[in-house]
Amino acid sequence: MSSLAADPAEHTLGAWAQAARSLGIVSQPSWVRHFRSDALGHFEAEGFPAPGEDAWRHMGLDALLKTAWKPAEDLSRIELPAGSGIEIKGWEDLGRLPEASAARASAGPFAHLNAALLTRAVSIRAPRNICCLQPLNFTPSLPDRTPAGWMIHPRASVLLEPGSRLDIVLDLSRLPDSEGLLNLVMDIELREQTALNLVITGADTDRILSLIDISVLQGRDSVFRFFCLETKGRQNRVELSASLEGANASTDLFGLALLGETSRAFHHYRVDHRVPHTQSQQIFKSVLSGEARYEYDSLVTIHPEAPSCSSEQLNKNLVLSDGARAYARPQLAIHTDEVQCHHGATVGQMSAEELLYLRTRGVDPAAASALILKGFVDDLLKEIPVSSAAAGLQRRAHARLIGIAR
Amino acid sequence: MSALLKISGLTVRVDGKKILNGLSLEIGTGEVHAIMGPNGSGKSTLSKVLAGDPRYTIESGSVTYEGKDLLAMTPEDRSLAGLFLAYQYPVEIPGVNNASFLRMAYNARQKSRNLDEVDPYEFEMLLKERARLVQVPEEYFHRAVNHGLSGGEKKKNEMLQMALLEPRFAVLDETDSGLDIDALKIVAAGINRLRGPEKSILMITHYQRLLNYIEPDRVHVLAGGRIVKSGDKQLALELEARGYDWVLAEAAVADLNAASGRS
Repeated sequence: MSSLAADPAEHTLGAWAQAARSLGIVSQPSWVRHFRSDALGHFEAEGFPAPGEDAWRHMGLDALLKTAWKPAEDLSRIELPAGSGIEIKGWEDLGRLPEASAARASAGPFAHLNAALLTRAVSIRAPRNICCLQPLNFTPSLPDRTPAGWMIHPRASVLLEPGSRLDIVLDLSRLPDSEGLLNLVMDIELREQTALNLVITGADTDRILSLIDISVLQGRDSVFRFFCLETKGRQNRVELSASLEGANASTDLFGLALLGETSRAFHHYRVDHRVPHTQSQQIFKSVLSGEARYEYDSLVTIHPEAPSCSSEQLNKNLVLSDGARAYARPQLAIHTDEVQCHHGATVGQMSAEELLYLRTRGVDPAAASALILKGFVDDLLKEIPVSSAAAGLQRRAHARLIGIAR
Repeated sequence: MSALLKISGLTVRVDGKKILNGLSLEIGTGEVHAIMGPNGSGKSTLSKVLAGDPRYTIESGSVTYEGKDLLAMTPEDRSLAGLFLAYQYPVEIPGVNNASFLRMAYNARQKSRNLDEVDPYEFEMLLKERARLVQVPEEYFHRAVNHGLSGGEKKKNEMLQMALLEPRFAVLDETDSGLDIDALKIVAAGINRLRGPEKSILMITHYQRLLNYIEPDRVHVLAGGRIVKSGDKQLALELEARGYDWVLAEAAVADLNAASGRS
């Protein structure tokens, strides 16, 4: 943190800390107050990332820091069909910190801020051997007519007890179409032989900044599958870290960013293989037009004590306009032998050769482009792990493709 | 018989290099012509220019098709007007379903003729019928366009497209290359079934063997970017037996005579 009082971030830091303190007077269990004040302490000690810091160099912090965000009423909803066996509780009803949040290894400045400013906190627990076939819908939202400049800091702590299974759909498309900041944290702990599918439907407006921070701790034989569809957003940041700590744990991360105009999305993934016989796979694609930006930054680390692991990272980007940019950074850090790891990335334009081939069969250029783009994304859309959400996401993706290809 | 396609003095450059150099050729309705020639003579360039590949720069000359200026038409308009290029190297389009693409191409043609577009079920029936005609297995329908197909399978897929789109004028660019003898017979039989009194074909080939199965009305030798000799199917047999050198030598002598006549 800079010690210069003239640093604009310093003023903002103070303002945000003040906002956190003012919220602290709300009656809450003492452990929640301690959790928040500890987080505030961490935040004040660490501060915001330095300008130009690697992880923030493409997104920058200007948009985040130059607005005086005001905490707003957080009406984020969690919906689950009755009789599912899943337990959902607000933190105010718990006697202690949820285990998944307690297991969180590290946190960045915005995760600390989330804890300090908590506007809504829930604990989601799938008891042992409960398999929930209907998805749990987590929908951040605010009251109608919330003035622009709002911010909310929801947090969900998710624990799957051994043998359980759960689908979660995090839907950001219900957020209001006004300037605002969503700073959401999910702490997930998957015990042995569990399966969690998590689907994120990104914001449907270019006025919102969203920061989604997800940490996943995986036990033996656990399966985590993730899919994120981005179609709009002023600045959408996803930071997801998965720590594979039990043998045969596997993580599949998929994402599709279909962005036009000034939409921007910045995705950062960290996967740590900490024990032998763990697998991870990542496939991320983007189609960009206008002045859109998409960043895929991924680091897979195979730790020294984790031979016999496999990992794949693939990032493909189609850039349709001169003004759009894709930043691809798949990274591998291998600290042992006998692993199978692949990584690759492509950034390119639509193939003129493919386009011509279709045109020589009588297909007009617009239809030919749409067909090629659909072909580019459709294999990924088959990977949406929550079947009840798949059709809606596919429709949304196809509609967005038509919009950005124009 | 009036020419379906008339090429006059066509000179074409790609990346600044002159590839076609005053090429002239006429193909009548219902005729099958073959163009043969050594490597680098401009055979594939001619096929790409006819299909409308924008990478080629037309320096001079003209091409009329059904009396219209072909070079002024977009690639899709050429296709809708009945021109079909069977690619030497059919393009792979990962992720794009072959049947969806073929239905889109077929319906574009229907629309251009003010006919009703066909729904997926009707189209599947039609596609099955055409696939039988050219002996293409139905498994091709649901694969990505040319993706993961062998060279021979790609050529068969081109024949399926040709059977579906029923072109009035087909340019077959080295359709025989990469085919074993069995595949060649199947592809040639398919082409023969698609022949008709109103349909013309221009076959571009390096070897004579395709012409054993598809009999041409005329055979031309392309060298140095222009037609240097034309004849009937006997010319192909002669080229097979003697190679191209004697034709090139004849052409060089003719050029010298023409030059000395002018001087």
